[in-house]
Amino acid sequence: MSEKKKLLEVKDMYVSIHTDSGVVQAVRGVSFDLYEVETLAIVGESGSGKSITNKAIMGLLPIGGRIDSGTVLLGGKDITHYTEKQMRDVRGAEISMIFQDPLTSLNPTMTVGKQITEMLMLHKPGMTKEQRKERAIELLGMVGIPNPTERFDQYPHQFSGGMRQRVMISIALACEPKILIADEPTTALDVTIQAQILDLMKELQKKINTSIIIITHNLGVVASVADRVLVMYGGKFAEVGDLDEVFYDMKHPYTKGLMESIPILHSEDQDLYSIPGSPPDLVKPPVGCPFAPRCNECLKVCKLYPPKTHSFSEKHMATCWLYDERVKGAK
Amino acid sequence: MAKYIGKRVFYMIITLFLIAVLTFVLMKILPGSPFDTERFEKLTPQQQQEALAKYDLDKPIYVQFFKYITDMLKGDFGTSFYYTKMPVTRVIFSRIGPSMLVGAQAILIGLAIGLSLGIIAACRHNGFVDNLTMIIAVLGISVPNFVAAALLQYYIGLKLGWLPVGFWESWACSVLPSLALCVQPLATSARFIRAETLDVLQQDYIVTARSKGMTQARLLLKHTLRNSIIPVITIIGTMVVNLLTGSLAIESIFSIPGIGGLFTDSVKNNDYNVIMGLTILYSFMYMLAILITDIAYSLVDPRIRIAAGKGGD
Repeated sequence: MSEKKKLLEVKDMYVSIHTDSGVVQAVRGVSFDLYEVETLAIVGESGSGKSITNKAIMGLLPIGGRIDSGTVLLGGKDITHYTEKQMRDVRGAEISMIFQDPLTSLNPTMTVGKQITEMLMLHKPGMTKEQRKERAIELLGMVGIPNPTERFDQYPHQFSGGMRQRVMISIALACEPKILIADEPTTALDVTIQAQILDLMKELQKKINTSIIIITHNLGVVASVADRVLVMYGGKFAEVGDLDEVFYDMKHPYTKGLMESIPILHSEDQDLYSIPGSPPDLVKPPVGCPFAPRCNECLKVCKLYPPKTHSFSEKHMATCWLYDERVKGAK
Repeated sequence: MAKYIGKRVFYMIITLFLIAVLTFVLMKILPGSPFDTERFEKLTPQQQQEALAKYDLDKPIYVQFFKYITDMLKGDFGTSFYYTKMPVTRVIFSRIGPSMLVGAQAILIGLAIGLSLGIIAACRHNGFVDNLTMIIAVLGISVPNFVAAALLQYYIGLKLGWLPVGFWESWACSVLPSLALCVQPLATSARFIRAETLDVLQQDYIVTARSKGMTQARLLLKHTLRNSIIPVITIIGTMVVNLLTGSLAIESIFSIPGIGGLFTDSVKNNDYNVIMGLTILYSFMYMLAILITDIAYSLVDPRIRIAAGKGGD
């Protein structure tokens, strides 16, 4: 694993969003790497900054949003300083995205075929119109859409939710990008369809050697697709590590809380565990650990100073005061 | 599509017939008659009878109505009572030209400026053009067009003397009224397209489109406008008819021999046939505009394709 090449390096990224009700410090110092042909899951609840982190990578922050500091290295080059024109060549060709709601993510007034060929037209200028159409039909077939030739000329409203997500995947993978960012790709779908879409993503990943960043709050999804897991909370990263490390040897109390909130079938316990409290207000982010007010292992120091990151193995790290030498000594 | 239009035209005919019945009845209920003048009083009863008989006004209403409808189907809308012996069609056509010229010019100027301003405003949300557009839109909607007309007339017509005012001779005379009349469609269309474009720019599929790595221009033309124009089509239809059928205020301020003035005159004079003719013309234009709107709608939005069966779920 360790000899794998780093594809994407996010270093100490800070993102703020300027809104009418104040400046939201959405991402506060997030770092992670993405290796070739791996799947990294970014887990966290709403408002943890997981979507914003990825939108910042793509340069697609909402109005008022900006990267305050940090770097995003794609193949060794910092893309945060790219011009809009340079970013256009990154988007779609090197990094592409699929989104949460397939029902609203496709342009309702453009045929599905055109939405796929558009991607080819933008990034593969050498292709003729006929080649693009041929390739689009091939892509539709590849993502498992029956009668792709017929479907090519149809509009999104003639497709079901699962089928639309397949179309989204075919658009995203049309130019065989190095990285696919999937922002909650299965959240809006039926459970049975969810599994199909995840299988499809895994299958296509092998076929075209893409790395996937999957953003989700569903730990079941994480378990079934991810190689590594990054847990985010309050705009910071809480824990990162290989799937097994995070699932079976979690270090951060938030990760523990997340695992305990998974409903278990045939459990004697009637109540579903939930972490008490709610996520911090990132307009006025807490000085200390953002999770401190909800943490059942909270120490005095947690609320006063931000915790440092501690390594447990080559890849397993957590940002928590509990593993600080001084705290351990005090215990 | 052809079947759909055929069906719609059939309903249009029925509606027109009902409108004709209603107008005819309401008109007869109105007090007075075309001959309700002092001069008519002075005629002998026999002369009065002759005059009434000439226009079939002595017969029962249903007979009059039946005759009117059968003539109408032959394309004869009767003769005007006021402009003696002139067929209604000629009266109307002599007056509709100026109204339509001014109205069409107002629409073209209004939509061209309004839509462009609105789109730029949405793209530069909270910027200078956006604020300017909103000011123009609020002013344009709240200030009546005769105020704009008076201002234009005074400053551009009288003070600067750039354009003629107060008579109707050449095309130049139509410029100022068109400008006065374009304020409202300009403001309305700017406001609508701005709101719609802002809404569309928030949509998920715009983020998808941006994530494909396309230029801003392509994003706007291929992904935004087609979606944001859909609701605007609805207001354009009725706006067009409103303007083409003339504005009484603008026509009297600029002394345009238009159709708006004709309508009020005909009601004042109890000129039955002209009232009927104009009502049917107006109704017809409105219904045509609605039909065209619906067809345009279905061409732009695939979700409401008219060709029933396929897609329209």
